[in-house]
Amino acid sequence: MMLMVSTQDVEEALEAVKGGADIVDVKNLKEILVGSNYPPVIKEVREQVPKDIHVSVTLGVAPNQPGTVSLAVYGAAALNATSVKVGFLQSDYDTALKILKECKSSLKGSATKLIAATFADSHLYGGIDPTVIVRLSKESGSDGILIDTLTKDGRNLFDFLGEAKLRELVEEAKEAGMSTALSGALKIKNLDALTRINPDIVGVRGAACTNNDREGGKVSGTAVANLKNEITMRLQGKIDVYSQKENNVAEK
Amino acid sequence: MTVGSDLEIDGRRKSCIGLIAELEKAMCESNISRITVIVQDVPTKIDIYAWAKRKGHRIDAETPYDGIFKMGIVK
Repeated sequence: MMLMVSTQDVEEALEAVKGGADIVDVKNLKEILVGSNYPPVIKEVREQVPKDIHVSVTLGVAPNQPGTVSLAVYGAAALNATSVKVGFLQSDYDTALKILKECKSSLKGSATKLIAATFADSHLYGGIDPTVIVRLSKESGSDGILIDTLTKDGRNLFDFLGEAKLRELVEEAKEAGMSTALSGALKIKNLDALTRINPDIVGVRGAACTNNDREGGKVSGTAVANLKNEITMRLQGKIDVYSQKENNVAEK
Repeated sequence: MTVGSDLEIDGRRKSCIGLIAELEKAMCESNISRITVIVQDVPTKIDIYAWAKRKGHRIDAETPYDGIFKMGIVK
C-alpha cells in the first residue's frame, strides 16, 4: 500500500518526499472542487522529485469534452507524469467512456498511466454512480481506478461507501490488472479499514498538512513521515487491524 | 515448460499494480499446477487467501521467509 500525497507546488512536493511519500500528486485546490495545476509547476515538481518517486497529475473534474480532456492528458504525458487522473462528475456512463477511450488513445507510445476517477459522493452533485468505476476502467482500457470524494465538510470516503463495497471494488480491479487508489479526506483513524481493503495506493492531503488543514495548511514532512510509519506498522502486522475488526464486530 | 510444473513469483518487486493479476494469469495457464509466491506484507497475504478462496485454489504452505511470507498455491 503506497502513500500518495497531494501537493500544490514544488515546496510541498519536496516535503512529501522528505516524509517518505511513494507518490507525489500535483493538483490545484484553487480551482473549483479539484483542478489541474499549471504545466510549469508540474514540470518543476517532476524535475526536482527523485526519479524513483512517482509524480501523478490530477486533472480533477473533467468537462464532458473528449478532445479537451484528451489534450490535457497528452500534456500530462509530455510532462513525464507517471499517471494522470481523470474524474467525472456531471457525466453519464457513455460520455465518460468515450472521454477515457480518447484519453487512452492520446497516451499511445507514452509510459504515463491513465487513471479513471469517480467520487464516492457524486450522487450529491448529480454525478455517475461511483461503483461503475471498475467496469468503466476496464471498458476504456484505463490502467487504474481512483475513488475520491468532493465533499470537504468533514465527511470522508467511508461516509459514502462502506468498507465491504470498497474492498469488493478493489478486489475486482486488482484481478483485472488495474492499480487501485482510494482517497477522500482520509485520516490516520481510517488506516485500519484501509489496510483491510488493501488498495495499491492511499491518497491524502489534509492528514499530511500542518494542522490537518488541507487548504490553509501546507504539506509537512513530519506529518507525511508519521502517516508512512503508521501504514508500515499495519503492513508489517505490528498493528493488527484484523483482530481489531473482529472485536468491533463483537461489540456491535 | 512441462505439464504440472511449478512457478515462483516474487511479489516484493511489484509496485502499485499486478500481483493478483499475475497470479490470476499464471493459474489460467494449464501447465501451471502450483505457484510459490513471496509477499512482503500482511494485507497482501490476506488478499491472496481471499483470491484463492474465490477462485477455488488452495494454499498448501505459508512459511516465514526472511521477515516476509512465502506461500504455496495449488490449482
